[in-house]
Amino acid sequence: MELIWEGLTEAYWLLITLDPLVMGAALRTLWISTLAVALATAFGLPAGTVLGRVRFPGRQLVVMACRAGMAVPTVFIGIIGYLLMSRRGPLGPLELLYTPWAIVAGEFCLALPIILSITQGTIKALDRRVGETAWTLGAGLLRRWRTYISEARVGVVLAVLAAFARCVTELGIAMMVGGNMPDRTRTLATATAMETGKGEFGRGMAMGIILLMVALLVTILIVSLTRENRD
Amino acid sequence: MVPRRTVTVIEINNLRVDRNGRCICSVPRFSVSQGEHVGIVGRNGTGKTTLLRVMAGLENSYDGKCKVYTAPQQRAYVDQSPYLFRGNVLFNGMYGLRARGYSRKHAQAKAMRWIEKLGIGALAAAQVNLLSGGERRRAALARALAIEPELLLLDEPLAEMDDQGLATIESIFAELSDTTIVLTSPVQLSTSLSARTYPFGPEEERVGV
Repeated sequence: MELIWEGLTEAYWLLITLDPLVMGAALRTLWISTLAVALATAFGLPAGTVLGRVRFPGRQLVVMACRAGMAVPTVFIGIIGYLLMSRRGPLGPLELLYTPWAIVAGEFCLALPIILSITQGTIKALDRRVGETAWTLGAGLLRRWRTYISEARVGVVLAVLAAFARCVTELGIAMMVGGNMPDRTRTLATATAMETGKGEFGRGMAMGIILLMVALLVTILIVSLTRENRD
Repeated sequence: MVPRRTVTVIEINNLRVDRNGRCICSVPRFSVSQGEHVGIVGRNGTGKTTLLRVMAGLENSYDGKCKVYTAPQQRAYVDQSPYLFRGNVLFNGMYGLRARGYSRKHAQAKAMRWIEKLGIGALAAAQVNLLSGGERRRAALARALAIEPELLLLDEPLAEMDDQGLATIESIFAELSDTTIVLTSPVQLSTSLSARTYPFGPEEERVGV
């Protein structure tokens, strides 16, 4: 208990004084995850809408694959990313390994199936009258799809938030392809693991608290959005 | 005196719609001329909605012939339970106009005109989830009328309408003498709403078109 109390106390001071190591890891985590989720949204939203509205041979298989992708361990994505981006890998010449961009790429692969699957489910569950009404009012394909996303906006935002929460807190990808390099690829999750391993519980706790706060914030947003949707 | 030429807008011959092995709509012969206001009247479950959906182009699996000589862009269809998009009444009213390339300002002015004609001008800024059933129907009707269609297809537009709403619709129909209107109803319609009635139901109950 004393250890926990000391850790918490030190964490409090590190946060209040905006400790450079803690804040550096926090900001790095935020921009990497935000970029990865933004890219995954740009791809996942239209693709999820297509999957939800357009029938084509093999659609069910694609949907199942996306849903399975949601459960892939982050360390597995990290291993695959490492193999691809290592010097002997096909992406080796791009020299992405141990750069923030490698983590962005890995977290993109983590976020994409989440956004795809949830968007697909939400769009599919829309009232059939949405598409019919839009079509009978003369809406072209692009406007219809914008309408689908607008009508399903709560579900879409939930998908993005869920993907963001997963990316911010993930460890496997950042460790495998980022290498936890100081001032370069050290994220909150990798730094927490490292500091705790060094016995620096205060710093580890501080970063863990930030991760917890992000997770809590996302949960609060999800709950309030869900409540608004029910109202 | 030279007789006025009538232009056929809708022509149906031996239409039959089956679902799960059951006939849900059967129409031997039905036609509508330009500018006519026709009421399709029949009991619930006789296939009136299905017939209207075929005319609107929403049902494509049928036997027989259904020709609608109005371009899809010149048709408007209002469902029995109209769906209003998230947003306010004005946004919905503008939807079809914006889809046709009207500027926001122009679409707003046109939509407001019809929203006010339908007696819900005070609700233009109201979110659609706060509207009553009758108000929702008026908003959906305003949305359809705003695009000034040549052919208007209305599925039970009088449901949930009060006397004032009914009077409003009658006066609007009187204004739309050039618009072809086909509406369904489970009860007989006044001549101010439909100049002609097509009784819908089992074959033996139909008097003729």
